Formats: sequence, structure tokens, C-alpha cells
Amino acid sequence: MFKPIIAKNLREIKQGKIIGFTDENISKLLISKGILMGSIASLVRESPFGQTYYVKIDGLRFGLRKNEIDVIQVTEL
Amino acid sequence: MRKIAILGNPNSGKSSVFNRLTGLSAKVGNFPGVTVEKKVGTIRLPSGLSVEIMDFPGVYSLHPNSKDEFIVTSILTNPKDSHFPDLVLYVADIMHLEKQLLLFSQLVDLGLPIILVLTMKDLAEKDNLKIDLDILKSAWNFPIYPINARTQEGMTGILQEIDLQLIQPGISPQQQYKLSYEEQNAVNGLNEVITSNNVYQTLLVAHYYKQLPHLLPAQADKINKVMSRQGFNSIAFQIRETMQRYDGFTDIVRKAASSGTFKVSRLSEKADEVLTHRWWGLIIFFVVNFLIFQAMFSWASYPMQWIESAFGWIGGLVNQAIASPGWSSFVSDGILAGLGGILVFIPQIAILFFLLTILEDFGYMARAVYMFDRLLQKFGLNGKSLVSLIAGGACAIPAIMSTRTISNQKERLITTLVTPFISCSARIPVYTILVGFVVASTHRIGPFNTQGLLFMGLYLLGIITALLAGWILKQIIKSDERSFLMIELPDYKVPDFKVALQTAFSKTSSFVVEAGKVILLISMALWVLSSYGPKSKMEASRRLVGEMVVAQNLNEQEAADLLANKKLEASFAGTIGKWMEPVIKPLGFDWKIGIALFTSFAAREVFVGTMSTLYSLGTTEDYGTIQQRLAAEKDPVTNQPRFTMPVAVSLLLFYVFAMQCMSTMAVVRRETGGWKWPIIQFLFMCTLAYLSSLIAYQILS
Repeated sequence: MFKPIIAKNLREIKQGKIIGFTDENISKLLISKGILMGSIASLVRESPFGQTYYVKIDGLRFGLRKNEIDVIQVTEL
Repeated sequence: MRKIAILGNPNSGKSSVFNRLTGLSAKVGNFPGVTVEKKVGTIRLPSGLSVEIMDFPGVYSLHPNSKDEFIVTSILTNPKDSHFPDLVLYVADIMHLEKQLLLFSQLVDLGLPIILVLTMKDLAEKDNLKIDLDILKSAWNFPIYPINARTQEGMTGILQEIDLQLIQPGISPQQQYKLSYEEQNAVNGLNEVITSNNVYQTLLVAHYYKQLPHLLPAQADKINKVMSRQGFNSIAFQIRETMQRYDGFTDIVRKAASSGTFKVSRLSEKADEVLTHRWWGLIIFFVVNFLIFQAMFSWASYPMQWIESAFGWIGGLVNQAIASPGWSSFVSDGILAGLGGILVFIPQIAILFFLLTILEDFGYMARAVYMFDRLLQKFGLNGKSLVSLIAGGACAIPAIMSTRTISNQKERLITTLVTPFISCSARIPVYTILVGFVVASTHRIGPFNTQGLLFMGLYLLGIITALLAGWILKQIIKSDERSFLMIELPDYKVPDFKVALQTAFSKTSSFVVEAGKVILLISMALWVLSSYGPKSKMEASRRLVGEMVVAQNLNEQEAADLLANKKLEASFAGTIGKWMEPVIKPLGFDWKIGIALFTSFAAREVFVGTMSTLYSLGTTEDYGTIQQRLAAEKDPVTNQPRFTMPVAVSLLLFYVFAMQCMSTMAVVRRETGGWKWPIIQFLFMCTLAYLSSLIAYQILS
């Protein structure tokens, strides 16, 4: 059956497949570090002072700020 | 000499490879015109040919994101640059190969001969990850060497390969990136202005012509005219390029890899559950830092004593060897005292940077940056400022130089401006002497020694002030530039001690060079100011001492100390101290403290030496003796003790806040490109010092 792809925020669904980015400047940096369309991303935890996130992407780990993680659009696996 | 560049991502193991290749020949300098650290070493190849190996900053892409990343793009777009390499050693982590080839793919398109060096061979073997090198070789036509940088395994092969490649460079395969119609148009347009036989190089110029230093202004203008006719969307094109490159090499790597192409380090993830935990993470961070500083102070105390006694010994020799008392004093009190004042801090700086590099190499610093980013952002700083702030605990000079990794200019500037508030090594001798006047050494609060708590309080005061100053600067300095964190948290690994030693060495030498020239010059100038004075005054003081010696029946040593004391009072430095007195009187300071404050502007620790001369102690720098003498000092008018608790508190506050380090100002000038910021910093810090001392003294007395 046809299943529509709905773009979601990684902070909401914690884990998903990256289907796009919403900001050119930030996405330019993200993709140069290997955070790509099709990558599997999961949010592991929030930093002690909040608003910074420990994110796993394809075997790599990143510390991303809220405005950085919010650029990543994911879909449920 | 032929040049070989080591390039790769930040966490690729680049530094280890550089270290293994160059060993002790490595030297640290700056890329000309910019303040980006450059590591260079000369080695002899098996053929007997000597070549220069340069370690470039670790970058993900030739599309840069910070000042130190830009240097790579700037050099590689200019074949005439004296750093332009004849050959590239591209270092990538075999465990994350699929994510570390973006820069490689760009270098291929620049037409550079490349040797691909794959690190972490040992880990890959342990993990049963096999890469079919033939598939990679046939795709790119470059030699590939898997190595274990820790054990030297595979290094001989690389050296032989360098020889081969320099004689007969590998043929560059086809272009990895196919330019879009618009990009090709831009390149065609630029070809009318610049001569380049490499398409990708021209494309990079199209992206960055506004910043590239090797373009003449006239050229940049022409390029600007050409580009304004083009619909060139730099960011969109960068994204397109990056994605296309990934598509290209991902397939190749996946074909070559035996099992999953990226390895998840379960151990790292387990460790992070604790090390980056909301509470545990913070607790561990503070414990780690406490231990680091504990180690720095206790380990460094021995070599510091050796250095001090060595200088005492040399000073004695000088006094014997040079007959003229003027010259012998100039050499021992001017030059040697200055040199000693610099060298004595080497152990602390070296130990701190050694331990910080170990933590960095282990993978911990990236986690600390991640944990503290949000907090520091509130104060106008960046998570990466944390490294500078910690390093500031030893010396602001290398600390300020390590702000170069902060890409946002405003955050970098604020970090540079507030780091000197962190109590550095040079403040410790001053604190040590003065805390004794605030509370007795036997006083306790609960189980804690009060002097120890006071010491910690002074450190804390510095840290809090740094943050508050950051907050104020954040409101004042305007900037539209966006700030990013986006930090990779690499796999934890066993730290490379050789790299840590090398880094400690290079940071320490940057301190010696930067601080050395300034402190030495000022030390000599101060010697002149404190040895000479208005002729009539100097003679009067000599007569006075003569009379006092007879009247009080002083022995030879006492007479010499008294003479030094009275000479200093009559000297230019003494005159300046007396001029200062009306200004510093409200802070509880007299002209003697005025002289010490004035001389401290060379470097804070000079306070101790000046005090011992002022209080006729000859050259002793024994804290106990100085403390006793200060305690015995009476105010000539009131006949009360001169060093009371309010005076000591006021003086301590002054030393916590005031910018009393010309070397730091010189480095700030260089890093910010002008005198504007160091002057603002100086005024800001000194005003704060003056006001807080004033308020404290007026309330307490």
C-alpha cells in the first residue's frame, strides 16, 4: 500500500531517515560532515544545559544545537 | 625542497601520521599573513632526497567554515604559493572511510598526486573489517597504504612510495565532480581573468575570490564584474557538489568493504552514557579538571625549583665574572631575571597542554565542548571556548592562540577578550604572598583550610568575571554572522603520547617566543628605570644610606640591602611610584605598592621580585621571608601595620582583574589585527580592577 512520506522533526520522533534539510547554510555544513539524505539519524540525549543534542548518524556521533538539529527533516523508519 | 602536505579530516589520525614521519624534526610556525598554526618537518627519504612535510589543519571540505580551514583552500587554489604541495598524503580513518573522502575527492579534482593513507588498521582487523584495496585502487588509480600509526607499521612503505611518486607522479584519474552548466559558465568567465589549467581550482576561485589573498585587487575586481553577470549561487552549488561527490565515492567504498561500511563503536557509546550524562557528565568534568590542575601544580613544582636555583646559580657566576657592578647587575637583575621569569612557567604550561592534548586525543574534549556549549553561548562564547578558558589557567598566550578553531568571529573575539580573566600561573606567586594577610594559615572553616578556600575563591572570581564580561560584550558587539556548533564526537581511542608531547612542546615554545621577547625587553627597561634616577636624588639617597650604616652599625649585607632599597626609592621607577600614589591611595596602596604595580605590567609575577627589593631583601624570593617583612612594615604616618587585611584584599582583587601582561596584549593585537581590541581590553580590565579594589578597600577599612 502507498505510504505517504511525512517530514518530521528529529527531536519529535527521536529516530528516522533523513529526507531533507530546511536551511541551506546549515545543511551545507551538515552534509560536508557526512550527515546526508538517506542517513539514519537518532537522537540519543540532551546536553546537561539543554538545547544541545547528542545525535547518532550512520555510525558517527555529533553534538548539534537546537537550530542545527531542527534543520534535519526525517521520516519514520 | 619538494613539499608534501598531510591533509585529512579532523579525526582522521593525521597528527599521528605527521608525528611518526617527522619525529623530532617537526617545528611549529604560522602560515604567513595569518595566525594559523603550521607544523613542518624535514625528513630524508630512502633515496637520500630531503623533503619537507607540512601538516595542514584538519578539514572536511575545501569549502571552509573557519579561518583555519580557509588557509587550506587559500593555499590549494594558488599553485604559486610557497606551501603548495608537490604531493599529498591523504589520511583517512579506515573505520569511517565512507565519511572521510569528501576532501579527498576534491583534491583529486585539483589534479594533485595523492598517496592515500588509511589509519586504524589494527582496529579494522580487530573488527573484522576488510577493505578490498584493489577496488579502491582501480577506482582512483592512487597508491593506498593501510597503516597503524601507533606502531610505525606501514610507514616504510609510505616513505618508499613518496620517493616513487616524486619521480613519477601518479596520473590523476578523471574528474570526480561534473560541473553544472552555471558553474561551467562561471569557470569560462574566470578563465579570461586568471590563468589556471585546472577547472576545479577555478571553480573554487569563483566561490571564494572575495577572500583569497593571492588575487590582486584588480583581478578580484575583474572577477567580481564577471561573476555579477552570472547567476552563481555559491551555497546551492556547494551543496550540489558535496552531494554528487558523496554519491560517487560511497558506492566505491561500499563495494570494497567486506561488511558494513561504517563501524559503530559500541564502547564509545557505552562510555558516553556516563561521560555525557546530564549529572555524571558534569561531575566527571569537574573532577577531571580538578585532577589536571592538581597534577599541573604538584608535578611542576619540582622543575620550577630547579629552574629557579639554576638561575640563582648562574646569577652568582655572573656577579663573579663581571667586574663592573653596573653591568653585572644589568645582566643578573635585568636579563637573567627576565629570562628566569619566563622559563619558570614552562613546566606548568607544558604539563597543562600535555594533559589537555591527551584528553583531546582520547576524544573527551569534544564531549566537554558539546556539554558546555549551551551554557557558554549565554555568555557570548562557544563550546569551543572551553578549551581556551581551561588553558588560560596556565597562560593566556597559548590559550588565546587556541581560539583559532572558533569559526564565528564574534565568539572568537569575546573568548580572546575574556580569557585573561582566568587566573594564570603568574598570578599564583602574588596570591600566595597576599592571602596570608587576609587570613592566618592555621584558620579553618570546617574541615577546610581557609587560605585554600580563599585561593579557590580567587580562581572562581576570575571565571565568573570572564563569563560576566562575555555577557556584556555579547550585548555590545554586533554581528550578523551565524554561529555553529556541529561538532563530531569521535570514537574514543588510546591517546598518542608522542603527539601530546609534541603539542605540549609547540605550545610551550609559542609561549616562550611570544612572552619571551616582550618580558625580556620590559625586564631590561625596568632594570634601567629602577637603577637610574634623577642625579641629585640618587646621590642624596647614597649619602643617607652611608649615614644610616654608621648610625645603626649595619653589617655588609644589611648595608647592601638598604642601599638597594633607597636607590629604588630614588630611581625613576620610585619616582613613578610616587606619582601614582595619589591615584592609588584610595585603594589602600602606597608608593611602594605603586612601584610593584607599575613593574607588574611587564608580567604579574614581577610583583614578588619588586617587593623583595623594596623591602631590602636583596634577591631573596622566599615567600615566607617576604611575608614576614611585609607584615613588619609600618605606615610612617599612623605607625600601624602597612599590610592590613583590607589592603591585601584590595591588592588581590586588583591582581585578579587587571590586565597586567604586555605579552598577552601583544598576542591579542596580532590575533585581532590591530591595537583597538587590546586597548579596549586593557581599559576594561584595569577599570574593573581599580573600581573593585576601591570599593573593597573603602568598605573593609
